[in-house]
Amino acid sequence: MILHRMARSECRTLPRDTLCLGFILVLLSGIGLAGCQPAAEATLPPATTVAESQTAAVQSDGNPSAPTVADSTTTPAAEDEEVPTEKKPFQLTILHTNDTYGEVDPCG
Amino acid sequence: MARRASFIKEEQNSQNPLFILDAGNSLAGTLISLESKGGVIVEGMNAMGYDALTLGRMEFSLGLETLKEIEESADFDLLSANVVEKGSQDPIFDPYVILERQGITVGTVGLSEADVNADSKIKEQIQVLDPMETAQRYVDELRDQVDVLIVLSHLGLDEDRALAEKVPGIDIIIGGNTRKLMREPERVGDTLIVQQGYRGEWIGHLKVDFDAQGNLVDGEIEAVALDDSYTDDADMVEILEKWKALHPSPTPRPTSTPDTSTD
Repeated sequence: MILHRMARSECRTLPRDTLCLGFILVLLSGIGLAGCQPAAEATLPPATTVAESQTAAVQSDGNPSAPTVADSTTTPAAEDEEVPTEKKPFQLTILHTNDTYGEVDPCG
Repeated sequence: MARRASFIKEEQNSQNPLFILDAGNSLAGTLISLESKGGVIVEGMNAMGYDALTLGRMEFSLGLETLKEIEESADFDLLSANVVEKGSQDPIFDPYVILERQGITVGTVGLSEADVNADSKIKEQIQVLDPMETAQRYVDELRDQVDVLIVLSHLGLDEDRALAEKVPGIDIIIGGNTRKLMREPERVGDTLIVQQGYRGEWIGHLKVDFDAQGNLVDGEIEAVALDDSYTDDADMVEILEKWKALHPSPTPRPTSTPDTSTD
């Protein structure tokens, strides 16, 4: 659009045929360039992807003992979309000990 | 430990997702555990299929170097979210682990007591963060990632109660340190609190029900006394005999108990 306005004002002060021909050429080349822009942009990585991977790296460096399981959550959920399954009530069994003080026998 | 192994083997046929946890002060204490630098206990716990253990004062008394070696040889996770490296404040051990059985995910956060740094050597290396703030941080991080959230705590019963009050979102606190034998789980808000005696004389058998939305409904506990009604597990006996041969007990001195016989 800026290219278009500049060409129109020059057309008024110079010989009409030359300038108008030039104007048309400039206008056409401008349209052509504009048409190429989306293709050029498509070759760049999306900005959000870059930002996410940088954030993950910082967290990993700052927390060397972070469990592996936690690291796996950086995988985008959208990639492995699963059909949501209906949740049901459930029961857990937990066996637990504490303060066994390195006892090996006789009491358990 | 051989009776505990028998009991656990029976329970491993359970239909429910089964998790085996220890709330700390378990790797060291007896002579053989200290001489083996926790080795006998770690091999035993590996054989029994433990999932995680919170580090308490007795574990830290072994020293960080030994604990790092144990971390390599243990098939279970050594946890402490609030013990961090002095200065950098980076975690030294895993703050938590996410376990999965039969499609149910369980986040388990470890919390150590304030005086784990009583030993002067350890004091130079570690800093103990406020357990409430630390718990809040990891509950916020994990709550939406898991179906069930457990805190494996060596803080003691009073602090466990305070934790349940101040930090919502914890389903179960499995405690230690105060060595309380609890015949019933204690409920504070939506959190169940349990702990089970000491010296391996009991094992807690906790069954917990959750509704379809993942809310804790109820729990029941059995404090199982590992008496002579349980036979010794042969595999565990073999492990213990091996370690006893490596670290034989000192010969007991003759006692000076007065002879009370009538001869």
